[in-house]
Amino acid sequence: MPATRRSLLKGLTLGAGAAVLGPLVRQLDAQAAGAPGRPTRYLFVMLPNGCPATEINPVGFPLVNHDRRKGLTVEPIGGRELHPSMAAVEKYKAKVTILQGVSGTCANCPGSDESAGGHSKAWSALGAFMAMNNTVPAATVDWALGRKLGGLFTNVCLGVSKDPATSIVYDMSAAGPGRKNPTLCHPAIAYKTLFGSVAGGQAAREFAVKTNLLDFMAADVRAIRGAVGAAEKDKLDAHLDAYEAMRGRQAKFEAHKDALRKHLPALTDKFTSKVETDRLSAQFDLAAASLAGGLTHSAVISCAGGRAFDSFVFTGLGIDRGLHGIGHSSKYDEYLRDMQTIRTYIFEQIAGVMKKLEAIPEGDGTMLDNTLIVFTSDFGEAHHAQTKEWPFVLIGDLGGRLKAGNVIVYPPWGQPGHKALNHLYTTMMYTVGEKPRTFGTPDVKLKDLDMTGPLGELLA
Amino acid sequence: MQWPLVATIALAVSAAGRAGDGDGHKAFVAPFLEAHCVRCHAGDKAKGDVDLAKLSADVGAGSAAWAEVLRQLRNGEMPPEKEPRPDAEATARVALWIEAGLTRAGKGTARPQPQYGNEVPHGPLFDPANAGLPASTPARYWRLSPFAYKQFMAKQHPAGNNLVSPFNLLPGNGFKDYALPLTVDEPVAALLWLNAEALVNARFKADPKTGKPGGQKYKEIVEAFDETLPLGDAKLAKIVTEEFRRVLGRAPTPDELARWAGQLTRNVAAAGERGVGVRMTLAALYLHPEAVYRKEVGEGPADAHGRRMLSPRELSHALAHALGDKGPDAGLAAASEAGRLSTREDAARELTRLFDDPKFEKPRVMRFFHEYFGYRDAVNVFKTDAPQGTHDASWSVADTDMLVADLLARDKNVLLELLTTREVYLTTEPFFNKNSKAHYVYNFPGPQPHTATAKGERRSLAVTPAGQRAGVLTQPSWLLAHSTNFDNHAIARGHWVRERLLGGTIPEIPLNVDAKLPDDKDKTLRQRMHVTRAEYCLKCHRKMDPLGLPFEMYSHFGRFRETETVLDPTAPPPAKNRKPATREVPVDAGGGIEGSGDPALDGPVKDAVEMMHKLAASPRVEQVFVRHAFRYWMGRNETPSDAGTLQAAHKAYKASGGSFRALVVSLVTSDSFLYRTGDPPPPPLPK
Repeated sequence: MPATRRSLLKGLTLGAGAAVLGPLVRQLDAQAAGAPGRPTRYLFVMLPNGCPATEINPVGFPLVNHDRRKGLTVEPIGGRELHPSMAAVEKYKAKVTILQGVSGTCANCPGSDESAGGHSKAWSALGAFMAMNNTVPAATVDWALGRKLGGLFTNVCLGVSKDPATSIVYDMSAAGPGRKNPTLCHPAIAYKTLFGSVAGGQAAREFAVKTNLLDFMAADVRAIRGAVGAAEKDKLDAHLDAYEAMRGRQAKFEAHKDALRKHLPALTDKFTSKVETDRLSAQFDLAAASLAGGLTHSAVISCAGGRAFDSFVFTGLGIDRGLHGIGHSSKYDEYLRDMQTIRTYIFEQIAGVMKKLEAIPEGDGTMLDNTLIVFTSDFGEAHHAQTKEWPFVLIGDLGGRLKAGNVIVYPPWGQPGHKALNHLYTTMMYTVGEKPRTFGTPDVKLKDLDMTGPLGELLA
Repeated sequence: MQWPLVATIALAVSAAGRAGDGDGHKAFVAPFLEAHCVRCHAGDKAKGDVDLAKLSADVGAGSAAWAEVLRQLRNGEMPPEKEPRPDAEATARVALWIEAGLTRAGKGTARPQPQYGNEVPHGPLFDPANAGLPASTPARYWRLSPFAYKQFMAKQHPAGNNLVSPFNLLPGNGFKDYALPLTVDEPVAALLWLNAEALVNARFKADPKTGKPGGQKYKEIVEAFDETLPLGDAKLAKIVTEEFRRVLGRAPTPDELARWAGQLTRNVAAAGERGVGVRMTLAALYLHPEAVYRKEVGEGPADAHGRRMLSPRELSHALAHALGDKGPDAGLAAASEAGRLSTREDAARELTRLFDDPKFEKPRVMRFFHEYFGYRDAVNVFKTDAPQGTHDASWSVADTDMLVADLLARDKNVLLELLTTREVYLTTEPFFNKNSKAHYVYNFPGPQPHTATAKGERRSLAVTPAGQRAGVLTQPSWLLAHSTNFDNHAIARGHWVRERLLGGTIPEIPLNVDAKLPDDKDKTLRQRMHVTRAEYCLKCHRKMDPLGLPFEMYSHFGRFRETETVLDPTAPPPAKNRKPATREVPVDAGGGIEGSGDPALDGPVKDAVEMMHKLAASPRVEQVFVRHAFRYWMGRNETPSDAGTLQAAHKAYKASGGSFRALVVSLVTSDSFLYRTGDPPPPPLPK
């Protein structure tokens, strides 16, 4: 049952809004206090339709098909140029890691991908688990990182949908068993949700009134609890939790006002544009601002990914057919060509975020130094992926916590030394000071291999 | 066997009833465990470290172990295959006893989501001995559906049409709008607020000519924006009262009036600006519990069983939302105001009126069939190569929609027709061969007679050749919805039949199971499904596979076939750029029904058409259908106390010659629909 009894309310006097909200604020503080010594930011960029290994391979790097690879190789990118579609981040080459041969079979879900056409692995992509029958069994890595890192929002998940009227979908991130996180698909609504309280001329006045009203509306819900039984009370308590979280956030906003205002993105026509790429670009702006302003430390951009990717058209790039059509191109070259066009655009957007973070001093360097950008496809290595390999591009070294600048190629699926999403996400958890045995649920078919611990080649 | 719950109910709710735990244990639970379990699960060498000899007769004290026993019994996982099967009724009775004990201990396992509805055993629900149990629904606030929310906001202002509903529905296939599991979480609340602000801003948008906000419609409120005019008590009262009527459809109580007027004043002061304070306070009314939820707490007087009937106002909303998304019409509002909505007869009269009124839109009736059959999911299953004549799942969905609507309009033997009719609607031009007018999907050799439609579109009601089709489950839409990208999905189809027609339960796929079929393209699906015959798999798959394989008489596009195509393993490897050689093998559509709970049903079938006719003739299948209609219209799973409601609905359906409308009227005027209780009393313990 999604409605959970809220432990926070227990033992507190009902009706005293501020007193009730105290624990949440304290909890947020405690979370922030438990964060690792230095600032850390994660940005996950998920592009649908698969990312073949060759499509992120540096020019001239001798990469063979994954089933013919032998053993582990770690080789510097060195003087090689990045793949042409990654030209926008060429100048950051020293911080780029190309990760090949990590598998994602742990994320193949019977019962789920059948109805979705074996396409997006949805929550499983960031969860390294099987979301059987679309039921999420645990938190995804973006949430697990965000929870450790604190912030006004544990994570911020932004997306883009074909129909601009679709403001919210739930198919990429999860906060725990059965708890799917929203992906905010409409940039204008995302803007109001994230920055509404410091944006606009009336911001301060509206902010004060909203704080009053949240207590007032919560009292309305509290008043009807008496008329129902225990199970229904739990449901209404979940509703109260929602107000409580909003109220706690208001208090935090107040404290962070200056930082937020400093990074407030410009609300341009992009936010309501009919062109899909404009709206996607607005979401990159929002992600950059959210990370820079400390609104969150873990952001996800789903570039039309997830379960409703089918008919999404990147019209702004001169492409006239949907992602699904591209995935089923009659010629493989056509698929590669269109996806390269899209990927080139995405890396330009990523470079834009990096430039913004690079301009903000932090410690001895800039915010970018403490940021890891993770690019991959929520499908795996192909439109209809086997996921025996799942290519990743990482940009950043989190202030030396990760080794960067290499092409790392792991042994084929099932061979000794083979690694999976579980290891990669475990590595990420290590960077924020958590040391889980593994992350997600490893593929049972790999039971003869050691599926625990981080990637030694990546962790400094 | 009878289920004398009525006799025990008084006992059960009294203190003496609590001792019944031990009595029941001694009378039939212990002997059951003795006969079927303890030989393996007792003492030092107890299998799986499960020692039932040590299990306390007090279910609450050993709740974890008892819950596991319950799960094993319900799923039929224990006793193991090779041991003698316990009597099904005895098993159900023990399960009910454990469940009642767990519920009393506050550790009930009854799960509120629709997919667990069948976990309540079928027998007691249709046992006449239980028909007199006092039925009611827990007092509740039922969150608006996304459809109802859209209608509500659109009714407030045309701008509401452009707002996105933040409300989700239950995921998965099956009923999507249940009262208990749907709540308002933070992102939903945040979006509700954004929508409310957007709506209020639209209502009081500045007139481009005058620059003044709002129109004549909201004169009182707009005047309140004017800092130069006084904002006294009388004016505040008028604003709050008008807005309550406009948004919640009722006047505020004196307490509410004082509270909202006070809040308005405070907000104006906090904002330092009339406009901001007034607008935001009015926006908050769109988040009032009565705007977000349908109130169903039962405001009428309590009866002897402690049940309270829905108040006229509550009932007017409940009836309107039983059939539509728009809330009470003028007639319901008037009946509620005039006190003509306080009895079962009133409810029946109004419901009949709504059914008869073509102007009252009733989308929830068709939605029941969409959610029950799940055939609309056809459009979500992606197919690569279109067969002859092209493929678009939405056309097949439209054909089935038309068929269902037609059978509902006739309203005779609705379930029987839905499960067996040979009639199909042919509505889609691309499915016809341009020259011969042959229809690709249904193999009609030549043109079929048209029936004219208002829109002038092609619409033929045709009868398929004998032995080829039988009802919705043999329509392309349903078959597509229960298929994979490249093949039929016999398991999903069998799962559907087991749950929705036989009322059975199937455990969720264990996490350690690699639930994939081999991909040998030289074998038929039936052959590849042999992996499910392994002992561990078969426990569950025997409940599904034999019910799903009869649909092998159709291709995975839903076209009738007598042979199917597989790769020819004996052929030499194909030349470059050539397709590998294939061969045709005869279709084997054999299957069978077992463990249905109706001995007359069990046995082999030669194909889906025979199976559908057998199923449609079974009273058990009718009852299971009634259970599903119950869930949809009550927004919750049935409990043993709903036995009377279910039996009456089944009776009404039969007595009316299979009228679906009669079934709905019976459900919507039942005690289960009309009455509410607070915390339910502890469930009766079967003796």
